[in-house]
Amino acid sequence: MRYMVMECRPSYVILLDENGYFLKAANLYYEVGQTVYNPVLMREKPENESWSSRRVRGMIAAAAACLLLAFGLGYYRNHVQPYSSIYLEINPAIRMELNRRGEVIALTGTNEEGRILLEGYSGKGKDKVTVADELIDRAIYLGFLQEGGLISFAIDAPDQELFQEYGIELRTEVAKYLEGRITVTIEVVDFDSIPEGEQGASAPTEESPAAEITGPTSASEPTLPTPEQEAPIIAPEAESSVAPSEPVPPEPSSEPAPSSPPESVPPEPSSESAPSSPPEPVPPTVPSESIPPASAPGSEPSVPTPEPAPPAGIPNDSNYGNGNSGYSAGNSNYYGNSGYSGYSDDYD
Amino acid sequence: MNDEHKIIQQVYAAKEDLQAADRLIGAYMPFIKAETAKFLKRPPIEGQDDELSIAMIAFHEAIRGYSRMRGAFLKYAAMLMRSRMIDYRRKEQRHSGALSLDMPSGEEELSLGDSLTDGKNHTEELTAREATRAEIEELARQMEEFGVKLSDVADNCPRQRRTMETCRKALEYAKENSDILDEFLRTKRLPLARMSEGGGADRKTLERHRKYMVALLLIYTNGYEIIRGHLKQVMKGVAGQ
Repeated sequence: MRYMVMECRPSYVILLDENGYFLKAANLYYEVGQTVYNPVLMREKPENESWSSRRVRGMIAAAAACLLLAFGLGYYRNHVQPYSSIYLEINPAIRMELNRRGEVIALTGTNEEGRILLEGYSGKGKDKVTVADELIDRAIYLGFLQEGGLISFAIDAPDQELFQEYGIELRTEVAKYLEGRITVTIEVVDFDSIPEGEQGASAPTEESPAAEITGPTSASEPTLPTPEQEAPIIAPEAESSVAPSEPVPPEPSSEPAPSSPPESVPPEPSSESAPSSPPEPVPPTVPSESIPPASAPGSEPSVPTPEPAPPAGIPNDSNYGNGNSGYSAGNSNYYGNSGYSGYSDDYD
Repeated sequence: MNDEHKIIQQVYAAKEDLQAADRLIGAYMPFIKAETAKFLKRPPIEGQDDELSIAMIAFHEAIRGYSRMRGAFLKYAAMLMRSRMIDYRRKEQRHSGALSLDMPSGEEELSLGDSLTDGKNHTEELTAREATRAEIEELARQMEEFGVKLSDVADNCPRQRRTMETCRKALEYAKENSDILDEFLRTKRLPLARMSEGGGADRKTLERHRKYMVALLLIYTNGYEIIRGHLKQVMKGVAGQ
C-alpha cells in the first residue's frame, strides 16, 4: 500500500492511501508529496469503542429503567395483584380480594345484602382482619348479624399454609374482637372444598381439619350436608366454633360449630357418621356452650374425638372464651369423622 | 488539583479543534520529550529519533481518546506513548538492521535514500515529488474555497468499508455525469441530492461525510492527475486492498 503525504504538521502528517482513505500518521520526518510505505498510523478509536458520555448516559438510563421496572413489578406483585380471596358470609355475602400481603384490594357484595353492607364502606388497603371486624360491626349495626348468628369465612388461598395462617388469624382475631359483645359462631372453610354449586352462598361446610382424626371417612366434601338447618339442634349459644377447615376435606364432617344454628353442617356425607344424625348439625353439643373447655372433647358429650386438635390446620388450641361460651375445644372435634360418628351416636 | 482540572479542559477543547491540539502538544513538548527519553534511556534527538514522532502522535491519540473516567490525563498520555513506542520498536526489530532511507547519510544533508544509487534518476524522483507537492498545495487551496481543510477531511473520512462504498458510488456517478462536477465547481456546493439519487447512495451518509466528498470531487476535476493516478485503485472499488 502506498501512502501519499498530503500535509505535514509538527506532531502528525496526513496521508492519502490508494483506496481513498485520508489518515493521520506519525511525522517521521516526511515531506509533502512524498510517498511512504510503512507509516505509523494514528489509531483512532471509533466512538462506539470508547465509553463516550452518550453511551454511558444511555446505559445509565437503561439500567434505571430496568430497576424501575423490577421495582414496579415487585410492587405490583405484592400490592396490586390479587393473591387470595376470602368470602365472608353472615347473611350478607362479601368477597374480599387480597394481595400477597394480606391487604384488601377489592370488596364485592355477592348478594343483595352484601351490597347493602358495603355501601359507603371502603376497605381498600386495610388488613383483612380489620376489614372483617369492621364489616362485622356494620352487620351488627344493620341488624344482619344477631346473637347466635354465624359468620363464615371461606378462604381461597393458593396454598395450604396460607389457608391455615389466614384461617387461624381470622378465627382468633374476630373472636377476640367480638368477645363480650355477642356470641356467634365463626367458621372457616376452604373455598376449594365447596362444591361448585354451593360456593358463593350458603355456608360452606366446614371442613374439619381433623382429617387426622379420622380418616377419610367421609368423602366429604364439606358440602355435604347442606345445612339442613336444623335449627333445633343447635344450641343457642353458639359458641363460636371455629372450624378450621382444612383443605382437605377430610371429612367434612361437619362440624361446624356446634352451635350455630344455622349451620347445618353437614355432616358428613360420608355418612359414616353415624347415622343418626346425618345432619347433625350438630352435634349439638351444643351443650357445650360454655364449656369450656375444651378440650373437652367436646363439649359435646361424647365426642369422641378428642383430639382436639384440629388438626390440621388450624389448631384450635386456645379456648376462645367468649365470655359467654367457650369455644368448646370440642369444636374441633367436630372434625373427626369417626369422632362424629361416635358423636352422633351419643346424641341419639 | 486545579492544574488537573485545567488540563482536562484543554484536552476537551483540543478534541474538536486541531489548532488547539497543536498548541497543547507544543505546550507539552518537554513532557513528551521526557517520556521519550525514559524509553530511549537517553535524550531524544529531534530530526532523527523516530520515537519522538511516535510519542507525538501518541499524544494526539491520547487527546482524542481521553475521557474523565480514565483518570489523570498526563498519566494516560504517558502510558499511551510508551505503548506506541514499544509497538514501534517491535515492528522495527522485525526488519532489524534495516536502515531508514530518510536517515541522513554521512556528512551531507542528503538522506540515505537520496544518496543511494538505484539506477533511477534521482532528479526525476525529486521532480516528481515536487510536482506532487504542487498539486497537493493547489488542492488544499481550492478546498479552502469550499471551507474545507485537509485536517478536516482526515477527521471526516469514512472509516467503515460500508460507508466508504457509499461515498464511492456517489463519486462514480458524479464522474460519469460531468455536469455535476461543473455545477459543483460553480456553486461551491455539493449536489448531494443528485448524487445520492443517481448513484443510489444513502443521502444521510453522504451528508455525514460532506468534507470528504468535497475533497474527492475536487480531485476529480481538472488538474490533479498525479493524485488521481495514486488513487487508481479507487476506481476498482474498495474491496481488495
